Amino acid sequence: MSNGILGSKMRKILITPAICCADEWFEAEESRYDIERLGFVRTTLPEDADLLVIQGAMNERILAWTQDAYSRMPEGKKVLASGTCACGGGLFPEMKGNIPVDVFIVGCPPRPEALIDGLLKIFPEGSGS
Amino acid sequence: MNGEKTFIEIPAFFAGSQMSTGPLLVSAKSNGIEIQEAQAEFGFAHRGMLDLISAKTWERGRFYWSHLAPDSAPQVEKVFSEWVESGLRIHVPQRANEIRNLICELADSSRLLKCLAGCFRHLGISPARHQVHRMREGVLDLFELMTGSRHAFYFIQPGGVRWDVSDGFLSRTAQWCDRFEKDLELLQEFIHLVQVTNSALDSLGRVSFWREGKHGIELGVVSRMQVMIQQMASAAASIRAHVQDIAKMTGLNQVVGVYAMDWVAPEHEDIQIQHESLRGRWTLIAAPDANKGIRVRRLICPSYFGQQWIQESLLGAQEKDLPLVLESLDVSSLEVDQ
Repeated sequence: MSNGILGSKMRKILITPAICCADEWFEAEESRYDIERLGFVRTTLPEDADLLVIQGAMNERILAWTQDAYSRMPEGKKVLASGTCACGGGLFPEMKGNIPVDVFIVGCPPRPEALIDGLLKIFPEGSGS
Repeated sequence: MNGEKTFIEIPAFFAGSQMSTGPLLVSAKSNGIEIQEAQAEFGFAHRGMLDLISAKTWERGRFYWSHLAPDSAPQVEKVFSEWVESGLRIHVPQRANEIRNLICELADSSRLLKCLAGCFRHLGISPARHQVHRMREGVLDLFELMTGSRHAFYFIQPGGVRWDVSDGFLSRTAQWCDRFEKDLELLQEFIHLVQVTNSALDSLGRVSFWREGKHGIELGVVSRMQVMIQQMASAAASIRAHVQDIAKMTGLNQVVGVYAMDWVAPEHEDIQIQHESLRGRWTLIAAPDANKGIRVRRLICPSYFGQQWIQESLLGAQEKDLPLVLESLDVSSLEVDQ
C-alpha cells in the first residue's frame, strides 16, 4: 500500500500482548503523538505485518504465540523489543525468548517519543526524509 | 482471649482499578497462650494476581501491583508507605499528605479516563476516544511535572514524598482542573445525546456487580460512562481543594518527608530500619530498652505474599508476642527470626 503524503509505504505493526507498555503504545497511536502520520498502522495478521513489536513479558503461552506469528511474517520482517521486560526480562527475568531483535527500546514503560525513535530507526522513510 | 477468635487486620496493598483488593485479614484462634489456627485472606484480589505474587517479596510484589495496574500505582505506594509508617509510628508532614492525596486523585482520574476511552472504543466512537486520550495526556503531563515520569514514578515513600511540588505545578494543576471540568461537561452532554439517539446502546456491555454474595445492579456501557464522569467531576473538585490547601502551606518549614529507606524512628532512637533495596529486604534492628519497654527483635526478610506461609508461621506463636509479630509483619512482611 502506498501513500504519497506519508512516505513510500505504510508499515504494518503486529504487537504482542502487554499491560503497562501497551498504555504508552496506545498514547503513541493517539492524537498527540500519532504514529500513523509517520506511516505506521497496526495489524492483527502476521502475514500482513512488517514489524513485530514485542512488549511485556514472555510467558509460555505468549512466547508460543509470538514465535508462531514471527514464523508467519513475510520476508524482510523486523522485530522491535519495547520495554524492560521485553529487553531483559524486567519484572519477569525467568522468562526467556529466542527471537532475533533489531531494535531495543528500554524503559518502564518507554515514552511515546522513544517508541517513535525506535520505529524510525527501523524504517527511516517514516521520517519523511 | 481463651478459645476466642482474635481478628487481626493488617493493611495490605490495593489496586484502585480492576484488581481491587481489601485488606489482608488474618484470623487467629488461640488458647490464650499459643496460636492454634490461622487463616489469611487477601480480600478481593484476582486469583491470577494471587498466583503471580505468591512467593514474591513485598518489594517485588509491590512492583507487580504498580505495573499491572499502572494507574493505581500511587495508591499502592500510599498504602505501603502508610503501612510502614503505622508500624514504626513515623509522622508524615501535612504537606506531604496533601501531595499524596493529590497525586492519588490524579491517578484515579487517569484510570477513569482510560476506562472511558475503552468504552468509546467499544462503541466505535473514535473522535470521542481521541478526545478522552487527549484529556488523559494532560494528567500524564502533570505526573511528569511533579515526579519526572509519566508512569510508575515511585514518588510516595515511607516518611512522605520524594520531593516538594515543582514551581508552577500548582497553578498548572488549577488550570488543568478548569479545563477538565469544562471537558467533562461536554462529554456528559455528548453521552446523553448518544443515549437519547440510540437507546439500544445502553444494552451493550451490561455488567453486573457482585455484592454481598449476590448479583447487584446491572449497568450498560453508557450508564457506566456517566458514572465515571460523575466520579471524575468529584475527583476534579477534590484536586482543586488539595491544590488550594497545598498553596496555603507556604514556606519550607512544612517540609515534605524524606526518602526514608534508612530511617531512624524519632521516638525510638535505638530503632533503625535498613532496607537492602537490591534484595528487597527490610531489616529492623533494635536494642532493648527496659525504660521504654521495647521488646525488640532482629527481623529478617525476604518475605512472601504466600497465604499458606502466613498461616503456618503463626502456628505456635505466643499470643503475647502477637502485637510484635504483627508489627514485624507490618514492617518486615512475614518472616520473623527471633
